[in-house]
Formats: sequence, C-alpha cells, structure tokens
Amino acid sequence: MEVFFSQLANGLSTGALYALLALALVFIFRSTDIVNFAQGEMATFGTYLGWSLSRPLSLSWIPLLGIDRHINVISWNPQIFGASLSLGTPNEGVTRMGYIVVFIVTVAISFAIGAFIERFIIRPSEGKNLLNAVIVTLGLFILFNSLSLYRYGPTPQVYPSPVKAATAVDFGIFKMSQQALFSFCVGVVLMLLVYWFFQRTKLGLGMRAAALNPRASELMGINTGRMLTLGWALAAAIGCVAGMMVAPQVAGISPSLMLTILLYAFAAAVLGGLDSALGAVIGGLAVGIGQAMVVQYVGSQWSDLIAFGLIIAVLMVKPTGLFGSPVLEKV
Amino acid sequence: MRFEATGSYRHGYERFVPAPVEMVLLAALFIFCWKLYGGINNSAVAGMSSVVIVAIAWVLGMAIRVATNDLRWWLLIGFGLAVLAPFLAGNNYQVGIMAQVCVFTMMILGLNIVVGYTGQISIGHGALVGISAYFIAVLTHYSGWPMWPAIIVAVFITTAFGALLGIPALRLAGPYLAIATLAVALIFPLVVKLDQFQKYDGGNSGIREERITPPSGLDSLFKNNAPATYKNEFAKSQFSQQTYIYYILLAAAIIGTWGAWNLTRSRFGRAFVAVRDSEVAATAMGINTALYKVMAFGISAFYAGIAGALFWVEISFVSTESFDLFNLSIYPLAYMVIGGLATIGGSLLGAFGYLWVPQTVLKIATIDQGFGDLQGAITGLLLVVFMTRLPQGVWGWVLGVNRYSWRALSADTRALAARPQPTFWAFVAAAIVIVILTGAFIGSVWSLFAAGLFIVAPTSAWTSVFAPFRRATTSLLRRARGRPRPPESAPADAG
Repeated sequence: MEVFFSQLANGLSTGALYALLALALVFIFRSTDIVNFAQGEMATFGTYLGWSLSRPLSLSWIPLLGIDRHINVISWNPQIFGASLSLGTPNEGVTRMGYIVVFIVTVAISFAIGAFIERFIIRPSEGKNLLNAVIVTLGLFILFNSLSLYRYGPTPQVYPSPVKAATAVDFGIFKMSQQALFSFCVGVVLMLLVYWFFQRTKLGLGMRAAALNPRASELMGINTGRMLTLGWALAAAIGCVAGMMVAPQVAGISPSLMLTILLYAFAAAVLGGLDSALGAVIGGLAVGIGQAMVVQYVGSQWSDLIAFGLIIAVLMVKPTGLFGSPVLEKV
Repeated sequence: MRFEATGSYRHGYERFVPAPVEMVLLAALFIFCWKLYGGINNSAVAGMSSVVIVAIAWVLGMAIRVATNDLRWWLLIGFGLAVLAPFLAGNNYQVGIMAQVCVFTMMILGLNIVVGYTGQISIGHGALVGISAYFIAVLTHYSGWPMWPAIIVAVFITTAFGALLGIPALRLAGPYLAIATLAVALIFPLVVKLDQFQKYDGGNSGIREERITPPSGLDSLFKNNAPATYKNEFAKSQFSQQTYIYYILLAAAIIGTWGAWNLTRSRFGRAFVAVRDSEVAATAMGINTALYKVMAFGISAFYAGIAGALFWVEISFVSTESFDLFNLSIYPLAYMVIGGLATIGGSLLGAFGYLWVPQTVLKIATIDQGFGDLQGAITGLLLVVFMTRLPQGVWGWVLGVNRYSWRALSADTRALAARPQPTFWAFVAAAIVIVILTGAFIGSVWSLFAAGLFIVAPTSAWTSVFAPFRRATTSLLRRARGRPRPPESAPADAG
C-alpha cells in the first residue's frame, strides 16, 4: 500500500507540473485561439537562462552569445579590420546569485521573452488564419529547441535546487522526494496566485474580458492587444517556473527537457478542455496520477503510448474535453 | 480556411524594389553554394574573392532575370540538371542526397495536397511514411516477399491508414487537428518499439536488407560513363548502384509531380481548394466536404506511401530513429511552407531545401565550427520569417520576381525618376556596400548572411524599418522645396 500512496504522491507532484504547463497552453489558447507548440521549448530556454544565471558571473550571462559551449564563437572571426577580439574565458567571475534571485530574474526574463514573441512574431499572423499561427508556433518550437542545443550543448547540466533534491521525506504511509514536495508546493501556490489574479484583480478581469469578447471589451476601454501580450508573457513565465521545477528531478537540463512534458501537458489540456483553466488543472493532476500508476502497474513503455492515445481518444469522442465550452462556428 | 498571399506581393512601396537587386543576391547565394560544394573546379574561379563574385553575380543576375521571364525555362533547366545530376556531382554521397530529394518530393507533394490545398493541417505524415517503409521491410525481410509486390501492398495499406487519419479531420479543425495528428506521429515509433512487436519489426535495431542492384546492361553503361572522380572498380560499382536507384526515384518523383499537377487542376483539386476556403460555401455548391476531406487525406497518404517505398528502395534500412517527429513530420512541413503552400513548384523547392539547407549548414560548419547546431535555428527562423512576412513562400517570391517584367521595370524606373526616393536608393547602396564589405573583411560566410538579410529585407522587414525615415526625409525635402504635397496615386502599371 505504501508503494501505491507514494506513487499517488509522485503522480500529484508531476501532475501539478503538467497542470502548470497546461495552464500556460490554455491561457494562450483562450486569448488568441492559438495552440502554442513552442511552449515547452520556450520553458526549456528560460530554464537554461536560469541555469547560466546561477553560475558564476561571466559572459555566459549574455543571451545567445555561445560562450558556454563554443568558447571560440567570438574567435569565429577573430580579426575584424585587423583587430582581434578576446573576451576572456567563461567562469572566471566572482559573484553567484542566490536561488530566489535567480528564480525571480529568470521568470522576469521569460515574461519579457513571451511578451516580445507575442508582440513581434505572433501579432502579424493573429486573427488571420489558424493554420498560419500553428505553423509559426511550430517554427518557434524548432527555433528554441535548436537555440538551446546550440548555446548549451546536448549534455545535461545540473540545475540547482534549494532543497536536497534526492532526499526522501517520510510521511508514514508514503515517501516523497524533497524536490517533488517542493515542486508540488510551488505548483499549488502558483495556481492559487493565478486564480487570485484572474478572479480578484482588475487586470485579470480585463484579460478575461478580452479573451471572451475582444470587440466589446475594446469598446469598454480595455487595450485588447496589451492583454494578449500579457497573456503570452504570463504563459511563458509559468512555463519557465515549471521548467525550473522539473530540471532538478531529472538528470538535468537538456534541450529536450520539456518535450515529453509538453506532450503530457497537451494530454492534460485536451482532457480538461483546451479553453478551461480548471480543466487544465484537473486534467494535469489526472494525467500525472495516471502516468504514475501506469508506470508502476502496467509498464513504463505504455505510459507515453497511453497519454498520446488519450489525446486522440478525447479529441475523437469529445473534442471540448471535460470542462471546455463547445466551439461555435460563425458563418 | 483562407491563406493570406493571393496576388502579387509587390504593393505600394515594395513595387519600387528593383528585381535585379533581388536576383543579384540570389545569384550570389547560388554561386556561394556552388563554390562551397566544389562545383567549380577551376582554381582561378575558386580563388576569387567575394568582391569579384558579387560583381559577376550582378551581371549574371541581370542576365537570368531578363532571360527567364518565362518559367518554362526553369522547368527545362531543372529537368536537365536532375537527369544529369549523378554525372555532375563529384561523389556518391551527393547522388544519395539527390535521391532523397526525390523521396521527399513525393512526401511533400502529398503533404501539400492535404495542408496547402485542402487546408487540413497534418503533423502526422511522418507516421504514414514510416508505416509504408516498415510494411515493406517486414514483408521482404520476415515474410520473404519480393520487393515490388510488397511495395504495392504497403502503399495500399498506407492509403487506408491515411483515410483513417482523415476521419478526425471531419470533426476537428485547426489547432485541434494539429494536436491529434501530432499524437499520431508520436505514437507510431512507440508502437514499433513495444516489446510485443519486437520479433516482428526488429524493435530498436531496425531492419536492414540488401539494396537493389542494376541489371548488367545498365550497370556497365553507368560504370563506363562514371565521372573521373570514381577511381577504382569498387567506387564505380557503388556509383552504378546509386545512380540506378536515383533514376528509379527520379522517374517516380516526376510521375508524382505530373500527377499532383493534374490533380490540383482537376475537379478534385478545385473541390479541395473550395473546402479550404469556405466549408459552408463548398457545401452549398454541392461538394461533399466530408468525402473530399477523407479523399484528400487518402491521396496524400498514397503519396506518403510511395515516399516510404522510395525511402526503402534508397536506404533499405528502417529503424524508429528514421521516423522521429522532427525529421519526418515537422521539418518537411516547415520546408513545404518555406517552399510555398498550395503550389507544386513550392513543394519541389521545399523538398530541395529540406535536404540541401542542412547539408549546406553542415558544409559551412566544416569551415566555421559550431555552426552545425544552428541548422534547426535556421529552419525555424526561415519558417517564422516566411509565415509572417512572405506567406507565399519562395515559390511565390520567384513568381513575383518573374512577373516583374522588363517593361514594368522600366515603367517603375520612370516613376522613380519622376518621384525621387533618396532613402530607398541609399538603402540599396548601403546593402550592396555592406555585402561587399562583409565579404571582403569578415568572410564569405558572413557575407552570405548579410546577403540573406537583404534578400528578405526589401520585401518585408526593412521596408517597415525604413518607412518612417522615408516619410521623414520626403517631408523634409518637400518642405525644403516648398512644394505642396502631391496627390497620392497608384504607381503606373505595367503595359
């Protein structure tokens, strides 16, 4: 029985992460009718930024400067008009930021990246054609995946954690690793924050209004465009938090860190209904618990198969998911 | 579902971008690649600096543009090059790549029928190619079938699977369909890897068979005419086998292209486009949308099945790694979009780009290390730039350049002379100077980058970057001259 409860606890913990990523997907889908295939890769990239911030001060902090991996990136063209550039070797810095600072800065950067993407890449194809938007997010998916690979290399890097990640906490009837417990708590706190933001603040109300009826909310004086930007930014930030929680639990950050997790998040979002935040949370927890149980009692090779089968089955039987609202097609 | 991108992309200010500038940069790119692959063996040419190359490219660009207002020239040249390719290429590896271009031509044509023409997105086509290749592999390897009957059976099975894949499309649209087909693409390798199927499909280690060999007559013909780079008998027999396979694939690709070209202009093709543009209107016109959607998926899967068969003929090896999500589902889709949605020419360009862009990147990586990992980034960037700025793709751009006839050019030149655009000409001059300077001082790789930037530049991004400056300058000029604002009129149209 202890195995069962331990698996249940682990399932809840990973489920919370799936729920976070699914929430990010739902935010974007609700506000812009776009399924963001790049969500996971954006999160991976953000997590990598956090990783380089948590290392000693060096040039590697500058995004996209491939110092970490290709020390000779600058020396690609060492001579520009006869002057050779030398920017020093990495990791010879002096400072090292605390976990919480890294966390906040990383989330802030991801927020900015999300806003930038919406404003300058998604906006031109918004509201025109759903196919265009899907293909643009696929392009972002490839782009971010490859940028992570280029800048940080394929070898997994150890991501810091404020808790002793591997040590288990014994609750009597079940055991759980400290990292799993920590990420579950962070996930729950974040979901409550999101709930508070959308239900209790004026900005959240504005975002809900803009998602529900853009034309009417514009007439009410809401800057719809800004709300969409904010939605993407929030989604990117939430995804990044999920990435920072996942990284210490697996072998480390690698460019494919969030790939499988994104697919489970898709399963969660589809199960709950792509336009329902509550559905995303419940779907995420259900998928997480289901995965843990399948791994324990059926076999680990079936877990991916069942998750993707679930996506197809739900879409075939009830495309709106458990909590989604039916799609009305305007003629 | 409608696509943006109808009609010419040259509106307003963009009309004033002279085609020669674009053609020059295109030619510079072409010559760069040619040099990279050792296409020019004359050392005098190969040793030229980038400055000379750009100068030659200018002349060449003008010549090509004037000579090829008719697209049929391109068709003829392309066909000739494709037939001669094994004898032009220096080694077997490049012939192999060209053979794969044929494989992916079939796949991307099929993908374009369903995504471009019918407007139903599918990220699951890698699974269809995989199903076909795996069926042939299993039938020939484990059941001992000869190859050709196995291919026929496999293609029909794949078509049936494709029609099944079309059933979700009846209920789902847009993003939902994308997710469903993505799930299909992901499930396929997992099913193959399942323990229960290991003994039938080889599991992770895959299935390998002998490649087909040419009949003796062709064999000696190819061997006798092998280029001088193949020194010994073994290399020549390798060349002969590869060339034989290449010609089979080329024939299939040409028939497939011809079939797709006819299909898209037939009743079916029109019905597909009608379903894409407005389902309701199509239904009102008496089109059975459900039937046509499933049919589009079926035809598309037929193409994917043949692509799988060609894949097997070319490589004679299948494993789950060959059919992963990126390689067989996402990248072909990306290059199809870059090539041009809902065009046959775009599909051909897409297949070409799918193989040769990564090859070129790797080739550059032998000069500048660390560049190789950027190939995905380049694909992604191209995809985003094309989808947001030039949704017609490369093919649309080529058509636009060609539609830009000599008479239109001179008309626009006259219009330019009548209404000077100093900022614009400063921009053109700066572009040329920057490309030349980059080539001279930093390296040909970076001049390629600069050229690439400016290729995209005049038609899209930089226009909006420069527009405020242009407005500022013209209004300043106007104020300086003290003339009233001239009435806005459409630029003079071609003949």
